[in-house]
Amino acid sequence: MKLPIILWITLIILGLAVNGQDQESSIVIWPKPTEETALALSDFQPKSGNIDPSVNEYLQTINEILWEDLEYSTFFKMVSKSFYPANRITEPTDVVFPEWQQTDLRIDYLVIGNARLENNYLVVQCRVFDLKTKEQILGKQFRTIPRYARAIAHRISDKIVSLLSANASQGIASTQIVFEKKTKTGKEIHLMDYDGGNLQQLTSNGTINLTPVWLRDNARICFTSYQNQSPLLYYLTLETAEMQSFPIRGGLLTTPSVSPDGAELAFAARLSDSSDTDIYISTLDGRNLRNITQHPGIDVSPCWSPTGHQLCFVSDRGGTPQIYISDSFGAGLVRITLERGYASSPDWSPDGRYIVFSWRPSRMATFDLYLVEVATKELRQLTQSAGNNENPSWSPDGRHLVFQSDRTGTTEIFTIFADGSNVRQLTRLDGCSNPGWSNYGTAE
Amino acid sequence: MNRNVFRLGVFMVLVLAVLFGMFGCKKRTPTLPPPPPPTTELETPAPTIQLRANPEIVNYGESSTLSWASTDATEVVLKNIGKFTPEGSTVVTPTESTTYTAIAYGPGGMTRSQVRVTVVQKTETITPTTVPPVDEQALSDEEIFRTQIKDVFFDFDKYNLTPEADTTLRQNAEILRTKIPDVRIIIEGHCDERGTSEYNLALGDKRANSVRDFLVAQGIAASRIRTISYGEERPFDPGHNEEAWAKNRRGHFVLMK
Repeated sequence: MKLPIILWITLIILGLAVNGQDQESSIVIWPKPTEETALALSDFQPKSGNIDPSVNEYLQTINEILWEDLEYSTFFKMVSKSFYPANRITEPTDVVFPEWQQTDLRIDYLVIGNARLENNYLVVQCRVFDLKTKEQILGKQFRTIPRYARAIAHRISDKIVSLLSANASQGIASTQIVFEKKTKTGKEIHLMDYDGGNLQQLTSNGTINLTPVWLRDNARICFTSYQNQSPLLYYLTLETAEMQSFPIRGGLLTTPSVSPDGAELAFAARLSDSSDTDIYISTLDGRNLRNITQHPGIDVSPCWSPTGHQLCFVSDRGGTPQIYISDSFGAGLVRITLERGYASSPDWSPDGRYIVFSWRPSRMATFDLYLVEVATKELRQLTQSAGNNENPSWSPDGRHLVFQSDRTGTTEIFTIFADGSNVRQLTRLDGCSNPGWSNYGTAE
Repeated sequence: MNRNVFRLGVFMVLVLAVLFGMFGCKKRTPTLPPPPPPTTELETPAPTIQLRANPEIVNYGESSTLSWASTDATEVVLKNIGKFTPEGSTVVTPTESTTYTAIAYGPGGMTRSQVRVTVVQKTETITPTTVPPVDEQALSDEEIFRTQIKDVFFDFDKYNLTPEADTTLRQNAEILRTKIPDVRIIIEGHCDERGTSEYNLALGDKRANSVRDFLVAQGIAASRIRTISYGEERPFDPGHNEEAWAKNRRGHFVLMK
């Protein structure tokens, strides 16, 4: 198993350290920022003195991915490269400011950089200039093994987003997605970057592996596996590929959800003394088990509210699968979907305002993604006329959703903006399902 | 780190155990240790059973009386015949030579006893026949299971039993009780692809347990049944139409090996 990117990338602050990165403003810009900052990204160049020509291949990756990341963030208006001054920029001294400051270009900030290969390490330098003041407002050097070139681009994008976005939002370019992928023998858990790149297979036990979610530190995932016959919960440490059994066992344990403080696990289970599935909560190591639901039907797919005081889950207690909310001890039960059709797989938005879920209003309809505003129960449809859309999961910034859809004929993973715009297909692998978006990367 | 601490702990425990053993040996006196306590009264003994046939050889068309006596049994099942009291007899009229099996069930387990009644066909001379080997016996259980135990089907998004499923399960229970009373089974719960996969895991589980609960109510020992949900992960028919979906909403019976 590969070491996680975070461990490999060492960051050395070169120039001006950027202050004002405090995360005080956690207001989610939803659905889309209103004012756009104009950004120019001059292609990163090989640093003078670099003698290994393969650096060009990594530079191409970085230039492509960084552009895509910044554009996809929607915080910036990316000024087309065709308008840029002709000369290549490797070092700050190469920037001819009057050319970049031409008023008809209307560029606010300029991103430049270079890369070299040094003792089998890829070293990338990146700088951002405020074109009004000609000041360098970001200067960073990244050093890693070359195959993490993509990860460097994602990290640079996140730095620029947190520096220049209107509310100093945290970028999500370094986040990752786990999901189920169909194999000949069942389903195995896979991992990819938030943009679908860097695909990796995490399990290979030849059985069925389902419902993966991230632990808060992003170092482990939790999921259901049939590897010991019964469907039970397991943890997988990404760094070591080590599997660990969740100590509570029964006839079925599935749909884990990690509490916001990272200390507790909510899950659906049929324990050995029961004949139906209920919602339970315990610590990550299975202590202090408590039962949240007692009704004699199906209760499944719990998800914590961001405060950790409430849970939403699916129950058929009213006759059809619908979404309910209760407090974290099972009290104060409220149904928040209409008692109609089939509502499933809820996920609570990071700002607490919405619950996204998959709903089929009638038997003949398809599943689509809907948001329900928790306070008002107001519904908003996000997908339509595009096959079945299921198992949504929020990005940590609450601006995006990842989900599965069979709109192309095979079941694949897609992302969509939280306002229903900008659908992006991440996989073309046939049989990808149940994506789980990671938390923010580890802060420096 | 933790592993090292754990290893050290295990090592310390082993060292202590060795030291304690040596210490204990030195202290031991030459007197005989007390006899072990009579454990037979504390344990539940396995039942015993003796099945007899009188006569063991009959002419075609004649009857033989099977009689049995058992100890520590609550119930005796004569395979392919029925359920009886721990001690009793019944008359059989086999049309061909037959091996009868009696199984005594009790709190301590189960025990079999067999007897063979040889039928002399009119033109046949008596030939010594052998008791069928155990393999053949097991195969026959498998054969009965394969040909007579039927799966049950569910309505969309439902886990309650349909009238058809009810009838099928009564027949299954009868076969499990009388014909193959010593097999253990797995009931798999399956769903069609139209629900969501997470909910279907729970739904499949509920279906399997509906079947299990019904069989238990019909007198099948819960210890003979294991359930597992496959949700929509293992469809019987990969199609995407009503016909396929109907096949995939099932409680599937599997013989536990």
